[in-house]
Amino acid sequence: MNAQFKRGIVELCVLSELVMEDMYGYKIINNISQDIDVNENTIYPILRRLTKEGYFTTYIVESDLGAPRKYYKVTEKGFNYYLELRDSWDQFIGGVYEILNKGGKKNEQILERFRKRTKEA
Amino acid sequence: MNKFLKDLEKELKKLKFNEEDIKEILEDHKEMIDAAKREGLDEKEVEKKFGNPEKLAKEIHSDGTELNNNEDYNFNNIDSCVEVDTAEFNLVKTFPVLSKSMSIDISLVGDDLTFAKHDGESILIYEKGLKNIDEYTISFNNDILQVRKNKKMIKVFSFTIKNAEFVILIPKNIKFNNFDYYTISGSTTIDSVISNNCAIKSTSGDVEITNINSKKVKISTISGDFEISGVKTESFELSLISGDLEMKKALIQGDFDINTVSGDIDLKNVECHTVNFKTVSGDLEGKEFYPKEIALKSVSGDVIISNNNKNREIHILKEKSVSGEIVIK
Repeated sequence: MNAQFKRGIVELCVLSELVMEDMYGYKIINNISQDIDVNENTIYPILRRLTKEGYFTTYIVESDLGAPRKYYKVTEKGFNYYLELRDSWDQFIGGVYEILNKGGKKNEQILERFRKRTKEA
Repeated sequence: MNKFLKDLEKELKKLKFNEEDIKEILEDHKEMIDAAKREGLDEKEVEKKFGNPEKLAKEIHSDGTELNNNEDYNFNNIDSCVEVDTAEFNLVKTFPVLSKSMSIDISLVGDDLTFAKHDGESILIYEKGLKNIDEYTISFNNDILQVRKNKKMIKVFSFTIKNAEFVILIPKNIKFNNFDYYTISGSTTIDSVISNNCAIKSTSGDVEITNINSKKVKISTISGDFEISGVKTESFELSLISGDLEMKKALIQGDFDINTVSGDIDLKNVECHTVNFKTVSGDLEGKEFYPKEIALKSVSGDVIISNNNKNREIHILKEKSVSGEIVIK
């Protein structure tokens, strides 16, 4: 997949995770990588950038286990940005499906129609 | 995983991150690796999850926000050479360069071009897929490098002919007096231009430029898209019809004049004195865009600026528009 495109989608996922609850870095990575194929290389730079841009703040939580952990928290600005991104994502993906579904929703349907059309020609 | 952290530190230093940033990034990673291990991941799994330190450093770097800390706009090491792989290319011409400055005059039709600097002492010109070299003028006289597709050879149906790819490498310490580049539909990559005048024109070809340090920069296109990162200049003239421009990390000491019909302009980490933005429907969107003054003349195009530093005031000189507006967030 195009790197830039993927980055945008992962950014939306990171925001979405943090809108649900505050999390530490590794947890975000772990949660997201369960569903889509990404590694730390993609997620950490996003966390860092969005923090710098004021979409997240961070705070440290001491833990009984090992080192203290940095938690990320969505700011109001971050939340608004999330809504904006989510909206354009929904619109985009909706549009993509409009286009894809024109040819039929199921592979068999699409194939049948394609066969019929190419036969006539 | 100590090796990962050490390598990461090395890569970050290479990219000239400041000490504070390096410390923070390393601490974050130490913590994340620690967390991963505590969840029972073994060394191998951790390695897989954290990937390649070089890629990571570059990824953090290319996000562009590191710039704010570096006041001298050290654009990705202007004096370092971008590696261009010429393995599949044929060397067509070499010219020794004797003086410290020269000019460039390149005019192509549909051929792709990669322009970069190298460690050698000569100008090297490579090609791939070139049908007939006689269709081109390639010369170096009076310190002017000329590469032109001869006009009479341009056929009406020239799109049926497969285009060539050129790579031009210039010795790295050379400064250009004039850097003129023109293409009709070829894709272009240009790296490192230090010049007095830099003019880049494309009809419909897409252009990617890294590192321009020039007294004047002039860019125009009909429908080509431009992607630029790393600019230092006294004045910048931009003219678009429907092509878009994306620019990261630019310091423009004087005026930034923009004329567009429907092309959009996307700026990130850009500073300038006065921006004169004339547009029909193209928008200007800026993140960390700090002009001192702004003048807008538009039909429906908007200016939207979102900046973190609210203390840096942007003075609105003029806002003349039918339905466009200036929004500063």
